[in-house]
Amino acid sequence: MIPVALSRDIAEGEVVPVRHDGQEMVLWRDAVGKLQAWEDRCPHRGVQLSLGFIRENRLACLYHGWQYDHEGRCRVIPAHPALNPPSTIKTHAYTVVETAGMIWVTMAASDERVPRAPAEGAWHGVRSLAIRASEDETRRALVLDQHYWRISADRLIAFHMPEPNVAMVHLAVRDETSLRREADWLLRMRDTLEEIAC
Amino acid sequence: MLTLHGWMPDERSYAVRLAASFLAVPLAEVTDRRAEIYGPVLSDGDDVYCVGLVDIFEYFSRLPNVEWSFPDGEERTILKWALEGLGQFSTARRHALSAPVPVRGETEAVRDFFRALEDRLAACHLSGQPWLSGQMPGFIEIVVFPVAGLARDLGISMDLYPATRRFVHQLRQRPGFIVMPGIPSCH
Ligand code: FES
Repeated sequence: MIPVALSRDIAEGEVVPVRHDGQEMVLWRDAVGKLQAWEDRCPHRGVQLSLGFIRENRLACLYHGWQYDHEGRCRVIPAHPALNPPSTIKTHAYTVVETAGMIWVTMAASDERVPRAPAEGAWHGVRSLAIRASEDETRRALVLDQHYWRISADRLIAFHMPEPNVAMVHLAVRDETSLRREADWLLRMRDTLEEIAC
Repeated sequence: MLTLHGWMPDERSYAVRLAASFLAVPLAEVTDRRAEIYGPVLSDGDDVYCVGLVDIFEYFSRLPNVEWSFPDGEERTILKWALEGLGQFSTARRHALSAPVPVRGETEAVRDFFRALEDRLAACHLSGQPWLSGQMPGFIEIVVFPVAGLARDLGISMDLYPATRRFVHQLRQRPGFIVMPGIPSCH
């Protein structure tokens, strides 16, 4: 699975675009805190669903207002209020898991595992940070061979690639009192990596 | 009654309307396209005449019943930085929106501003300070908001800036929030 964001960075009612390796998806959190991950494309005319908004706990497309429920099924077509939309009108959903303070999705051609949260305590999200570096440069700097994440001592460090030369690095730690210190560490890493990359 | 001489699609005119709305300052509006170049103007047809955001916000902060103070010390430095960022963003956005063919709207200066904004907002969040102005939003937020809220006009994707996205989401929830063309009301 691919780590795409920190859990705490997507609040209830938020609709968020995510890109990885040329694929685009939308994440949104409903009123009970459950997260959905769909292809970022409205089944009607293909407009990005990440431009949309939440209405009655459904994701509404910004263009014509079609509303999709938590299963991705179209429930409301505002131009035809009396119509019960056919069940075939459905968004394309990805598997999404929240664990270790991060959000992980299964996208095509990926068999990445989700790390299990440690038995004791929890992971605390520090920051997701865009770094101008290629995937190879990021992997070298983070000492990652093939997976998108690694646990090193008290740090869970992970990344995904929204653009070919931009890595989004996510950091979570076990010690909640160290968040600011760890954020500084991440900033220093960004500056070093970008210096090397350019 | 105070009158804003502004231009609806202009980010700085919007910032004045937004501040007035949050502060419950009654404001009449007159369309004046010169605001796009010279900035918004505030007048009361009598002895009030303020040109540009700094003058206008300073004036707002002196009004009775207005709780926001004009930034001082370190906050003044942040306000200055935010105003510069808004200026760079406005120029880039005007260029992108008026181009006869689609152009790459995000300039190096705009990208640097977004990056610095994201760093500042993330640092605030981690230190338990909800806003750049402190425990409550203030004039700094008003200057920053149009940049963050209109990012899409320059093709800037907010998946790279989670702290900025959170800031936009939170400011939108506040009573008195108003919109402008490019910032939809339904979110
Ligand atoms: S494109 Fe989404 S509702 Fe029409």
